[in-house]
Amino acid sequence: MELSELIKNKVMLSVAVGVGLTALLGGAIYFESEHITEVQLEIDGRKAEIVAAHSLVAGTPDLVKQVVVERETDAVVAEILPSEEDINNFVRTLRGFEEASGVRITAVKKKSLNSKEKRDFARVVYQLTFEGDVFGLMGFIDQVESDSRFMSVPAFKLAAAAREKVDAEGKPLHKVTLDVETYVYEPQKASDPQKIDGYERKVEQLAAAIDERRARLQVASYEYLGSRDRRDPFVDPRTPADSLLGPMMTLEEQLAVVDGLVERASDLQASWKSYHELSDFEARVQAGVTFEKQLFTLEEDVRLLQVEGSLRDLDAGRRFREEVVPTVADLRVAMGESQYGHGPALELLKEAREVMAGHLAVGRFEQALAALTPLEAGLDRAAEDEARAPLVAEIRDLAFRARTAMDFDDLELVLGGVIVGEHSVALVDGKSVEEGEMVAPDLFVQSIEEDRVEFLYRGIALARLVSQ
Amino acid sequence: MITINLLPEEYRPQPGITPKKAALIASGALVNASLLAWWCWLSIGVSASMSSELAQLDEDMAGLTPQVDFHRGLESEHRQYLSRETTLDEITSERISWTRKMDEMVDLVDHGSKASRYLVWLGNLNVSQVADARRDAYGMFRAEGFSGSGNFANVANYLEDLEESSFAQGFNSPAPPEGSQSKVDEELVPSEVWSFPVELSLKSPEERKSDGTK
Repeated sequence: MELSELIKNKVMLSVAVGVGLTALLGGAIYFESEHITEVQLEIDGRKAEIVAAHSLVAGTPDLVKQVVVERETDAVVAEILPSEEDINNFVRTLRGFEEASGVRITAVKKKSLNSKEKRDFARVVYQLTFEGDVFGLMGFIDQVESDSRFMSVPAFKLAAAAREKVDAEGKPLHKVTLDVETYVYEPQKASDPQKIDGYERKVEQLAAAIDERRARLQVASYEYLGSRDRRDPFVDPRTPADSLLGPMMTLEEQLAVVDGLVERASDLQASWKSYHELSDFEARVQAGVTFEKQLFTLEEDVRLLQVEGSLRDLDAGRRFREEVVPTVADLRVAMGESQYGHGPALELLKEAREVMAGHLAVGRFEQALAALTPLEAGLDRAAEDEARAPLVAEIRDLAFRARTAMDFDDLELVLGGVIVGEHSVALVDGKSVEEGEMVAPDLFVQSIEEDRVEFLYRGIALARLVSQ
Repeated sequence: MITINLLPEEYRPQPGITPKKAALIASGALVNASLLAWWCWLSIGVSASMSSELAQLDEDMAGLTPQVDFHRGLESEHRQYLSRETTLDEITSERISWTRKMDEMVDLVDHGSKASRYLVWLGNLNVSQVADARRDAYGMFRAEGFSGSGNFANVANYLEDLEESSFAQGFNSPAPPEGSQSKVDEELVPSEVWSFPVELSLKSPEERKSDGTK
């Protein structure tokens, strides 16, 4: 009854509908606000992503450059640490080292390893046993350390050869056990390389950076210059007492002889230097001849000592080998093959010819002959040499011309006057002579001109001016 | 006076809406209308605009995605190269040039005898390079040394030169001189020989690097 009354009450119904509608709208607004908040969060997130992406992409050009440089220099890494397939070449390389260093490998063994892997690189160690002197060992290690493939020597042992064996075999053969370590490049699974637009152009633009990185990746190595006459420190250097006795030179004498040779070699080095500083040809030729004589004598003394084997003392022998022999050899190389005792050298003859021709061209006959003087004594011997004979002939011809010209100057010829015409006539020493007529032995009139008469003297044309 | 309406219910006149009720209904309608307007503003105005902004941002992001992927791909490639180079650096920087070390040792022995400071030679040699940071051990250069002289001071001269030479770079200082005189051999000059140990331990790779050891 009350309910029906209520239903009948329109006002109450309207209120109820109104309240329901209000609740519905409130709910709709609430859910819409929630949705808007979610979208706002999404927008904020997206904006942050975009900002981050922009910031990331801004660095792409620099990254592209880096990757281009790295790709281009990856070959260097591959060369320094080649792949697994090259391990056989590694063993062949060791064989090459053996030959180059002069040692004799007697065993090669691959060592099993505890795990010491370096990410993309797998370690490989070979143990080698060989015989050789210390310089062979150093040569071998040098080959190992300077190879384009990266290798190192983590351990080695040397058992020094006994003194008796060194004496018997003539050279020390130490027993060496040496570990050679290398790494094999085993790249782990890598992502596919990105395609870079205009790659070739970028490579060209980045050439300097590529070269710089390539150089940085190269592993520096030591420059080993060989034994350089140093003694093997694993050999007992003491001198046998009996070798210092007998008819041979005493220890003091040997040292004194070597001292003398060192001094002479040193003096010759100084002479060679000053010889080059001389600008005057005659003085230089004279110095050259003296130098050559001294060098020849020194060479003879060195040769004699080598043949006799008089230097038994190790220190004297070493000084002789290091300070005398190489100096003499260097001087000989600088001087050229020996001409001493065989006349002047080819180069000297060429220079003499040029100097003499120069003097003759300007009428300096005496200077031309002076240039020949220091060489004259050896010309006959030089003429026996096929290579130098033509030059000797030329020089002699120049000397003959110079002497002839000087003799011609000494001739007392009085030119009274000339008549030039169909039959030209000259008045020489009061006598009229025509062209072709003989004036004196070996002296003929070759031509007559208004201001001069040309003579043929000992086959050489020489002229005299007609006095006005 | 009491008035009684005797007409049946359906024939009686209906009472009108009171002003109070009318005001209540009107305010309810106003509230609902406001709510409806708010909802419409939120859903049609704000929400639509935000959806449109989001769509725009998605589009922008879609445009950037290939560039970002390209960048990430390059980064990955760069990391691989970098890792390889770092490893290569580690491997190569640990290497000691034993050619150089042996050359320096030969020089030292040779110069000493030329300068008549000592006549020294070496016996068996054992060289090892290890990396055991826990035991602070990085390797040893161990050799038997011999000095051809009766004067033990020559051994001290040699060890002094050794310590000051470039050979000693990268090694800890050698132990103080000690040794014993070997049997005198009259068949050789000099006949007296002192034997002594030559032992040097390697410094750590970091110390060698700061030393400039090559």
